[in-house]
Amino acid sequence: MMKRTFKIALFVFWVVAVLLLIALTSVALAQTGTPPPTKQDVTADDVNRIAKQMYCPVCENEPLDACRTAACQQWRAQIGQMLSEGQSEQQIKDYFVARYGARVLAQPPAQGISLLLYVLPIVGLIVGVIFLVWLLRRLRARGTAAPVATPAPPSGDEYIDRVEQDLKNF
Amino acid sequence: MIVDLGLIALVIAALAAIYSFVMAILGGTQKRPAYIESARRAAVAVLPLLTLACLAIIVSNLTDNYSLEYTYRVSNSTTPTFLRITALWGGQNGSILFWNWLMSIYIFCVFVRPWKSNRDLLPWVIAVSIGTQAFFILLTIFFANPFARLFADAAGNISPSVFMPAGATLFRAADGQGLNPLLRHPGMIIHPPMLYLGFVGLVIPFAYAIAALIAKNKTNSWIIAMRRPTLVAWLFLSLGLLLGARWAYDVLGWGGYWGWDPVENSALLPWLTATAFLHSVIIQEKRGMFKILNMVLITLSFSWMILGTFVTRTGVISSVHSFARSSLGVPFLSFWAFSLVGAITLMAIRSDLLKSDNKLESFLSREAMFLLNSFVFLTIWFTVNVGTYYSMFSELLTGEKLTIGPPVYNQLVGPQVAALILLMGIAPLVAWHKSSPEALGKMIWKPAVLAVAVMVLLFVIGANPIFVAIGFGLVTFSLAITLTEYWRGMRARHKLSGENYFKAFTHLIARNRRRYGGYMIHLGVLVMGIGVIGSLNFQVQTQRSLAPGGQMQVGPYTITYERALTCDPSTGQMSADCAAWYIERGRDIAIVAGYMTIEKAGQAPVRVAPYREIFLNGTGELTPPGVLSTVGEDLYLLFLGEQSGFGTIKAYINPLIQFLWVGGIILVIGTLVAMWPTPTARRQTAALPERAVAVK
Repeated sequence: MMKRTFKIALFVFWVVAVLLLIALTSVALAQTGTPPPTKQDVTADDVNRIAKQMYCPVCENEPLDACRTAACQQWRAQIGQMLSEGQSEQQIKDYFVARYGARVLAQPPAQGISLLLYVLPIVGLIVGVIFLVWLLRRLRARGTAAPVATPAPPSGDEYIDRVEQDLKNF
Repeated sequence: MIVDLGLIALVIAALAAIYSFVMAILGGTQKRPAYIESARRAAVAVLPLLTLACLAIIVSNLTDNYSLEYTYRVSNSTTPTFLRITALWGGQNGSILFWNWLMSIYIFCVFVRPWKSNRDLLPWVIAVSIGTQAFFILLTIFFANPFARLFADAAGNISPSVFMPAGATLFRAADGQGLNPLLRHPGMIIHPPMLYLGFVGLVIPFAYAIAALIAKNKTNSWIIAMRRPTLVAWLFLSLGLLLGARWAYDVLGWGGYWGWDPVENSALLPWLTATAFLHSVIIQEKRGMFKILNMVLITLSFSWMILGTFVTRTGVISSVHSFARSSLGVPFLSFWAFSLVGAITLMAIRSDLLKSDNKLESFLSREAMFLLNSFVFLTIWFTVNVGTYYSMFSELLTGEKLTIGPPVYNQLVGPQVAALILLMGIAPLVAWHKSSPEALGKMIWKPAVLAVAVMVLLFVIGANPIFVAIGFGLVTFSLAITLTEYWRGMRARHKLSGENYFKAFTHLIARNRRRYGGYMIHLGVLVMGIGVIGSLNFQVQTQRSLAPGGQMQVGPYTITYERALTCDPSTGQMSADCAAWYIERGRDIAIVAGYMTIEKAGQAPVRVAPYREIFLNGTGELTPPGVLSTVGEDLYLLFLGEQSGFGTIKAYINPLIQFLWVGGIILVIGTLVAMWPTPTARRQTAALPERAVAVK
């Protein structure tokens, strides 16, 4: 019985872990680049698609595609220019990163100091899960003597209690 | 004159708070009820005193008193009366005073009546809450005093000061600078007070928790006593977040409602731990378990509320360097560290008090589910913390500031929220003590099958990326279970008492508001989840420049651009059409509006005029959209401006976004249901005489 319940607990962790994995891989898959548009059909939408993933230093916390300052307009014009020259999304981003640093990207590259950003939450999660399992087992193991027979807390309502009772027999 | 009165009231409020703090501690340590009573009365006196101080600022705004620096900054001769009042929280110093005033309302409500029970806790609840209040009043007086006046020295230099510098004369500006146009929108007038009310309210549960530790109170009475104030604070915090999201959607013009911006995050962080606390404390109340966890959760909520206030009030987050410039930095961070270290030390000293009364009987029990729930809330909290404060640290370490945009948060937080939604479904079905997998399986197989069916269906019709299908599947699962819980309760009542289903429903809720109010909050969150997943993943965005009469197609909508209207009072470019735009606005903004018509097959055309509101003082602009809302989606149109006869229009389709707002309303109603005073007390007293008669 106990083995079984522990299995259930493990199952819940696995569900969480699998969800995390699926989400991360699907995000990674979704990010494979789109082919660069040909010279003649660069639209505002093409520019915005790239600008959405960038920040210009003038606009604090506002993506480049939404920021309306003159500096940001110039950046967007430049993106449009580079697209019409046939440059790819990655080339354009690399150009801006080389000039202004990684801060122009909404999603910092997972390298160097920014790697920590991705690693920390995952490390936190792993440490947390280990701690949680340890805590659960400890709470479970403590006083393996007869469990304190506390009745299920009454809800203070006879109807609810009867409903609960009915549900048990359900 | 009125300014002097306000300043004096503020100083007396500080003295009253300090007096109350000292007397509460003396009364608590020396067991002197008279001292404690005196402390309680002094604590209650803070509200009227701060009210006087706030009124002084408002009167100064109303009477064009431009010798007061604060009035000079937030008001001017053309500011309407209503905005002169709300300008009380329109600038940094005034908003901190206002923040204090709101905190004193909570303190007043908690202490205004003499306590009949929990008298051992009283001195310490007073000490912690009024201590916090005293700190913030002193902060107002010494670092952010709204009563500073403008003085001109002998050389004619004008500077603000609370007291008249030697040889200076009072300076009265001809007119004020006026309220920041950003703060004139109704959303921005109502949103900060809600958020502040949520923030300051967290002092009450924290004070109770600390008091229970100091007074070595082993009972649950403090949990019961602080439950309602905590829910009030949580309600306002949630409302503040929701209204902030709505405001962003209505005026900021980027097609979204939540940008994971550090200011938003710093309000979300205490909400996360407070929500975990509200759940986890139920286990302490019913089973005497997880006492350390609850202390940790409420301490984190309180200290991150302090940190959040600091971040939102000083703008430190945009750059670490502004930290050095802000005089508020050191006191704020000291207080934050003190609350954190103090609470942890106290927990260590009283560790024997925090031992669990019961052991965990099974991993598959309500208790274990609650623990898992707190755990997930804490991992989300940790993740958002890393994201929010990481850019600050990266700047310190490397000299280069990093931007952490929404994609990063969505990837990291999304899966964790998915786990929470799963728990929201399963946990309420798991029995206390222990549950058998068979019993649980019996209750969840139907919703699980439904959820899997939804996932498969969505996957087949091509919902992409795959986690959209997973997300909707999980929401379906928990939604089905929550609705079934209502249904089972209603059916049971219907069978037992023969009430009709509507009566059974209302009675069910009335008889157990806490439980069914809680479920209603869950419903609200799940409905919001539908809106978030939909708007995040299926948003369509397109931008075109059109000549008058030109058309663009967005999804099923045809948009016809008519014309642009530019109004600029500073250049005198004010055609007859402009008058209508300035009815409720100051003259210090320029308007660039674009008139357009939306047509959809089978529907009457709708005319909208999205516009840009450009602040002439150069502090920024607002971009309110033109929106056509339907049940399924919003067509959200922005007018970006006109150039050589071409108007630029940006159009978004935000699918399912209505669910977000409706879910928010359900959440608020659910919270009201859960916290509404139960009529049990009244019912019992009313029933007593009958019973007495029966006994006779």
